[in-house]
Amino acid sequence: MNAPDSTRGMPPSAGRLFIRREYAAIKGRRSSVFWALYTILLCSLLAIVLGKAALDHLHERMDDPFTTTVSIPAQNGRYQHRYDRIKTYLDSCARTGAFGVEASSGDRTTVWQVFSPAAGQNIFSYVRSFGFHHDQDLLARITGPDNLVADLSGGQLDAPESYTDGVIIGLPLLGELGLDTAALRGRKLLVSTGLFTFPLRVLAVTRTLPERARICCDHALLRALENHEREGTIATDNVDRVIVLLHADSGDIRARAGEWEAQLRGMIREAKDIRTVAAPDMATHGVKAEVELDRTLTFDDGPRYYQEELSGAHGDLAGLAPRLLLRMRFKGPDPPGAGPEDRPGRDPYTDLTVTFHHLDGIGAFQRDIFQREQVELDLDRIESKKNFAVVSKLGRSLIAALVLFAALAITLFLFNTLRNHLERIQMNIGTFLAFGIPERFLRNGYTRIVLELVLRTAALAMGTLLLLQGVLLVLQRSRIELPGLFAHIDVLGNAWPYVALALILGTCWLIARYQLRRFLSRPPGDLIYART
Amino acid sequence: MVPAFRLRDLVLGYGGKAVLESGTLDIPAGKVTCVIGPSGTGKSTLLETIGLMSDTFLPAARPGALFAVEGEELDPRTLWAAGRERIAAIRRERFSFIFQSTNLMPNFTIGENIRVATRGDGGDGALEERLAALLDAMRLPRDVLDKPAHAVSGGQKQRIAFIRALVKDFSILLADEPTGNLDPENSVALFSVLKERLAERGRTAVIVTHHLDLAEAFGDLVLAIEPRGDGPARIAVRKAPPAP
Repeated sequence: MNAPDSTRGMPPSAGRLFIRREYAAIKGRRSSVFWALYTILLCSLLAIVLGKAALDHLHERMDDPFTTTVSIPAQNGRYQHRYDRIKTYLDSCARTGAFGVEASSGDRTTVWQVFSPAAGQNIFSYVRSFGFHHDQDLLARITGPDNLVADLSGGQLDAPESYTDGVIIGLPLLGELGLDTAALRGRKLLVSTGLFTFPLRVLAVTRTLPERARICCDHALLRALENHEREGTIATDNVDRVIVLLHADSGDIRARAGEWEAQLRGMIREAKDIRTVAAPDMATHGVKAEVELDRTLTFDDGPRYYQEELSGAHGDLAGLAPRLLLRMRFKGPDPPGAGPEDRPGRDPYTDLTVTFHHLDGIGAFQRDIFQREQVELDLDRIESKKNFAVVSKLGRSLIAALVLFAALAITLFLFNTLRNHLERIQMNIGTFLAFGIPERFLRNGYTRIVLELVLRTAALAMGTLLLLQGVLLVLQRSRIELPGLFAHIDVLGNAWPYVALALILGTCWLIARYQLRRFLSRPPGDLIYART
Repeated sequence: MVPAFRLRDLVLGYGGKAVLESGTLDIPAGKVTCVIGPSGTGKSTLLETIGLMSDTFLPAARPGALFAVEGEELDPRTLWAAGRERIAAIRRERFSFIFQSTNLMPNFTIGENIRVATRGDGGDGALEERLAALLDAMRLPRDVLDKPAHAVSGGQKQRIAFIRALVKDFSILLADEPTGNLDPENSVALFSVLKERLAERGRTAVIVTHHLDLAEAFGDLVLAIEPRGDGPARIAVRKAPPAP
């Protein structure tokens, strides 16, 4: 520690000698004071770090950024016939700001089958759509810094063309696919809604998505996959070549290409030439077979027929999960102001949604919409959000109390240690003062000793916590199941321990100065003759 | 010659209670002055006062009260209120001390105790030379400097307290029962060395002792503190130095 004036008034070597000896004396026999202080600090900092980790864990589990949005299942039998009335009511609330309603919108929902490399088969995933232009606020919350895990769009999350063939997925789906964010960068997922598969880019991975959806996309993309024939999403031109994706490791091409080609020739009888290469742009399939046909075929005779055949494949080929890669004609997001319900042939929202500016008006809104439109709202999630807010505030208050308690405990401990030490050697200090050792040297010297003791024990305690964090990290990387709380332990990136240490140092400095000023205000004679 | 201390009509005590009246007192420079008297009469009070260790000046002093150290007059009414730095500087530059309790830091070595008290940096050749000579005079081995203070005997500690006092630069030595814990033979031996060293350097000493014989034998001036019933004690001259 740099304390330039702590030896002022003394020759430097004598000053350093005094401080070294007294540091050792205050540290206690067998460093008992040092270890006691270390234990108090470690326990306090550990409690603070665990408290913060618990809050973060709770935050992850409960604090859904979409809780201020309430959905009404407009297509169920109860509300379907009143769709327009309900929509008009919600739009009017949004326009006037009644009950704190900020926006009125809706989404369409469906289920896609996403090919999972981990499972080697399709898994069902719940999808919700939004309007890129119409639901900018929602999109901002989805890709907000608190919710965004990885931006894989190359910084193009605000560009409408990104959503032509791009989707946003949540962390739970990423886990089920057995992929990490790096594996998705520049690579596509394969999604099916029926017979055909669609290669889609992943624009971002987020912590959570609205209504616990696993995938979110623009309305136009959802429609393009659901109604691909009406929308013309798949090019149906005549073909003289097709591409088949294989779920295999590209490293096996050299060894197994012949075997795969033979299996494909059994399925695609018009195959003239087959070339097996790596598929670096796919996250789900490592290999693709480019098949030259011996003649030009229509879409029904070619791709549709082959896909049906491949879907029914069995034996070794079935293990390769072969998927035909088709030429896509995706369209851009719906234009500003347009929603699915504005399209020819009417394509209404599955759910109508309202987003609140704040949660205070929700109760009144719930009563009003029930009276007017007989709509019953499920507000469980909003109640959870309110509970979380209370628990979160309580948690923060407890951590703050813990910080104060730690500062108080350590300050009192050091206050007593210093007082006992000074009382024990008051005659010696009085003698030194009589000999002319400056008061300022003693005041600064003992202050330095106290701060050095706190700093050294704090450094050791922080080091211990970092070691603990490292051990937990190693255990996590070794795939050892740990309580979720431990995943949030963060020593260096957590402001609370620094606040606690700053407070502890500050109070220790203050209390040491006060105590020393009081002790040294007594003249040397009072100290030497132990006069109170 | 300017006296080491001049006291005129001072009333000394603690917490407003008068313990001792100084009357007119000059303590000669370059001499050994011994202060004797029964316990609790104010011997240490006199030493604390002139050694500037405590503020014992009571406001009951008569007009014209005076306190001077080596000719420098110090106003007893404002001396302590004016701040401690000047007092500390006088102590540091002019005084040295020996106490009955040697007050050595137990966690320091003997050498460290001496160097810290004398504010020596370990590289002062003259100080090291004086230290070596004093160790020889006190019949202490040189390696005693490396021993922890808690590891030496009481008698050795007392001699080390003498060395700590004498090795410092000073003009006046103030000692409170410096041989209080020693047997008469060792006391005489230490007083002899002390007197010899003081005489060599022409230094003044004021020594409080309850050993009348030591005071008579080694004191050039012997002051007796005489109690006066309920009132403050006063100072009487028991033995005066021979006229120059």
